[in-house]
Amino acid sequence: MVDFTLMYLLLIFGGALGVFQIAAAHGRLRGLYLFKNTVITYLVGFLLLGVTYGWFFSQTNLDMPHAEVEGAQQLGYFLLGSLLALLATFLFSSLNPRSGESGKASTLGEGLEDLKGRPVFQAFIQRLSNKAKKG
Amino acid sequence: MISPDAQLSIWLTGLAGNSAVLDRLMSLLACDFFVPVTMSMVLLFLWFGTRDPLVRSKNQWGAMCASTSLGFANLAVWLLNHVAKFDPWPRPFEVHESAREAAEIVFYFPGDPSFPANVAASIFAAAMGMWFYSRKASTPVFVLAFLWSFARVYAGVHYPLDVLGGAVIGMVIAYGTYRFLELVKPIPRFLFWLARKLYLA
Repeated sequence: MVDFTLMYLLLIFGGALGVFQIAAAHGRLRGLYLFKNTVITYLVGFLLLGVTYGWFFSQTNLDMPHAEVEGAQQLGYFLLGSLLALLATFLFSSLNPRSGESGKASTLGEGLEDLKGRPVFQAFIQRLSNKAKKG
Repeated sequence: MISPDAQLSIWLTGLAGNSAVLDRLMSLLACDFFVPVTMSMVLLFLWFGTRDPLVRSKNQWGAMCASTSLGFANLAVWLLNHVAKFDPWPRPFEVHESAREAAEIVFYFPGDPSFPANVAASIFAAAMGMWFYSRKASTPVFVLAFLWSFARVYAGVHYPLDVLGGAVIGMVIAYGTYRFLELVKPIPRFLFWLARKLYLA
């Protein structure tokens, strides 16, 4: 039996990974896509979310109090799990050479808007090089 | 003489045990994880998943207000129950047989005070916090708030009045949080600016 805290953390990590893909597809943030195609990105997102929820809520005895993950801890694990999921999304989408190919130039320095055209690491590098050129 | 609130509770908890499917659904909705995790996932989606940057910015302000309100609502209920020692009546399962059976089937027997319903205070605070910035985006959070609150009454752990009281407290706190965020606007603005630099907003 996997420790309940770890199960909860996996629920948040897997669920958030799925939500980031759905959100990226819905917001056309191609720089966060794990796959080039928007439809596939949606499907992968819903699949990740569905499988994680299905796994967690079929394993857990919902009628039992889970004192080991109380309110404040839930918040802490949620922040940790979703941050890890975001970092994984940043990493894998940046490693994916096709990620962010929108065919359109996008702005730089607008936060998430930058990711409509390029993955996060590429956007960082581009911003730094633009600054160096200006300097 | 039984109050209308208790009558409604007895009637609703009497439904438990008649349908395994309904009991399982209510168990899922009432549990400590399903609704809060789903609500947090909805807020994450709203934070990232909008094409229009102006709408996204509104949603992000809403998500910030929602999560701050949720925190303040939790704190307010804790202060009310643990510092002011406000505990006006026992939980339904401590008084009514049908509620005791419902709690046994659907949920468990929590030990903290019945009024106000902590879950209603926190999730209605979050829904209302989002509502101040985007009516449309707050809809799924309000739906979750009603479902979670209803499931807790069905499970015999709260009276409808506990939920109503919790919801009112939560919404008042959300209003206060909204006014507070408007008052200290430069601070969240700076945080958003910083988050944009890190591609988090």
